[in-house]
Amino acid sequence: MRITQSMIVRDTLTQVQGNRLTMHQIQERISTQKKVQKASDDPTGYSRIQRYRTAADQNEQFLKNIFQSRNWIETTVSALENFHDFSNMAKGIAIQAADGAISPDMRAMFAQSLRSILEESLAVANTRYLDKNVFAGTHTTHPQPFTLEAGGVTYAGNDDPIQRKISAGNVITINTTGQQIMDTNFFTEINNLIAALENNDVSAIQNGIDIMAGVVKEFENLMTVAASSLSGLMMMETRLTQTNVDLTAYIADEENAILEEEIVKFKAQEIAYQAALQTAADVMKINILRYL
Amino acid sequence: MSISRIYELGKRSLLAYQSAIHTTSGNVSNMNNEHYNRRRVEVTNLINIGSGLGITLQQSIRLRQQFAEKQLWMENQHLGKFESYNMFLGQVEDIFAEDTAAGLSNILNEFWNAWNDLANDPESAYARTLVRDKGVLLTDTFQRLHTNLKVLQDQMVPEIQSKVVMVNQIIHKINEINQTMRHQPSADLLDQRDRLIHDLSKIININVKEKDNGEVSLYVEGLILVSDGKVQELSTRLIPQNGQLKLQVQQENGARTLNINSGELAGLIDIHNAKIPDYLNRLDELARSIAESVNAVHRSGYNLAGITNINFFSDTVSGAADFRLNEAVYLDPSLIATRADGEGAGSNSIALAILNMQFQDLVNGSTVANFYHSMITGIGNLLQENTFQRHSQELIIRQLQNRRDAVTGVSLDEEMAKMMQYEQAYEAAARVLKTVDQMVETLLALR
Repeated sequence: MRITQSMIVRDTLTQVQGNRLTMHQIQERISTQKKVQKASDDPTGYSRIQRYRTAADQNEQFLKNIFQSRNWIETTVSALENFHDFSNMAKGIAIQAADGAISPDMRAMFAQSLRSILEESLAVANTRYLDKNVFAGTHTTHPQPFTLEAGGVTYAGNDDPIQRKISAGNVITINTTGQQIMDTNFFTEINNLIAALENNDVSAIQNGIDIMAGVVKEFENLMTVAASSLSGLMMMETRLTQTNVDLTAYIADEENAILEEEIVKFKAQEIAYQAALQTAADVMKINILRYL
Repeated sequence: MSISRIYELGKRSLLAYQSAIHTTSGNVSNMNNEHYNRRRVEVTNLINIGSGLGITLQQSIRLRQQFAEKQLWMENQHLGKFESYNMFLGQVEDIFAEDTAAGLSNILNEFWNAWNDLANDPESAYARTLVRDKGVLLTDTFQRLHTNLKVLQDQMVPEIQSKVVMVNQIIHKINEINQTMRHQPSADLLDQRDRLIHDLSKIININVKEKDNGEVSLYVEGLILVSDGKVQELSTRLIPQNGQLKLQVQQENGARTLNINSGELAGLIDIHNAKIPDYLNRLDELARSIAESVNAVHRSGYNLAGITNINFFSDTVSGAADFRLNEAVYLDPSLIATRADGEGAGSNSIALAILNMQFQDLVNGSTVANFYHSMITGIGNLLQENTFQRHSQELIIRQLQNRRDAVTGVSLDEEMAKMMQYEQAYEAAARVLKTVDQMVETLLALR
């Protein structure tokens, strides 16, 4: 084959240009630390990265929801603990007052302390978290869902669930409604007990002991339900956190340039580039003119 | 044989080698001219004394490697297509800007995130403002993508038209060369003609037929561009089709529409007529699906003040171009609904239903994110494939060029060696003249 000047120049330029391009690409990967930036860099890798990233972003939403739900439920549980304590205290008062040796004046005093328990429990029932009523169903903005009136305590909230999404296919209810509090008959029974104490009705007071024991049980049940959804949330949180750790690792695997690898590649390419330049310089210098 | 004939012979040798050196110097000066075919002096003719009249001045011969030439014209068409495809698809990918936070997939995530925040806090005015703002960001992004794709598509029209003008100019020049070749063939004209055909082959898929006298006929898809002194110019036409303007290349007289399947024009036309409209349609479909699904749920919901039957997005979203928020919602984000009829302020059933849409098969049997990603991956795939093809095509062309240059290219070593050869011959011829001169002098001194 005849080798001509144009061939030498063309091949040299292509080689030098090719080496330059490869070096440029490696340099870009090193400076951005990414080997896949655009879909055209690696279409299959890119589509995987996007799927991982979407899933990771969605999990972040869920984790945020779980965090807020936990706080809500923890507030609920501590309020329920208060109710539990109040009903225990009421039961204790009933036991003391049922004693035949207690004077009516004493019973009136017990009635008085039950009244203050009732008032305190009303404040707990109107607990707010982030300025929302905890025990009002979805009437979270109602100024005061529980009110004490002459006839007893009335509830102005509803029985609707407050829901949070904690995974793609999972919506949980995070609230204990005011209706559930009402259904423990706590307020009614406290009022009944107060009436019995004021009326000095010993048999009604004795009845009150068992009834209050039942109310205590009711609150224990409510607390158990709330606590179990709390532990469910924590399990979900652990799972989602782990999933996101995995997803982040997958994304890094697909997307991140491995610095050592790229630097080695760059060095190799640099040597090839210099060799190409060197031989080009030599080849182009050599021609018959030097010898004529 | 008279002594004066030796004079003549010497003179002719001098002139012949002078011409040979002229040819050589022409070769040397065109050493780096890509489209120059080297000339060769037929030495055998020069030294053939024949009848004894000396040597005749032979025209220098232009060397050709026709097979490689024709192959190059063929392969160049493919390279042209890959190159134009590469350039404009790269721009399409850049428009989507998926390597930045401004990419639609990120904006979509932010939109769903805002709904999620509102679902966690349905009583909040702030979360509503956030949903409104992310909604604006989403619709703006759709509009930006639509506008930028449209602008790119519009910019391609003058690009295509200028290519067609270039084709017309080239075929006129080739026709002129054809005319000149008939009565005055010249190697320089052939160089020029081959260069023009080379340029033309990159733009459009041509067939070249060459007659013995050097005239060429050019065809596209069986239609004549240049033949026998006739030139058939091309023109472009924009015709509306399915709500988009399609660009067609046709014969100047409008008789036939060309089906261009190779060359830069083929790539440009395909991107203008097929690829960009396809992407635009998919964006429209995506925008419509999001608007319809969100609106349907949102209309059924109630805001905190109990107002219902409000669309979140504009009532009439026909595609990405007019994808907007409902003006009323834009002005007053408190209209954003979170709950169903009769539910309390803390209920988020509507917000929950809307944020759930990110997991549902909203468009064409896939989720919004998947639908969009498969479109972006499709563009990336096409671009990557095309880059690969362009590289291998460049390699093919380089090899063909080398094969052609092996015959027609200028080798400096060779030319220098020949120059010395001719110079020595010239010197020898001069010495012959000197000798004859001395002979004549000797003869004249015989008195």
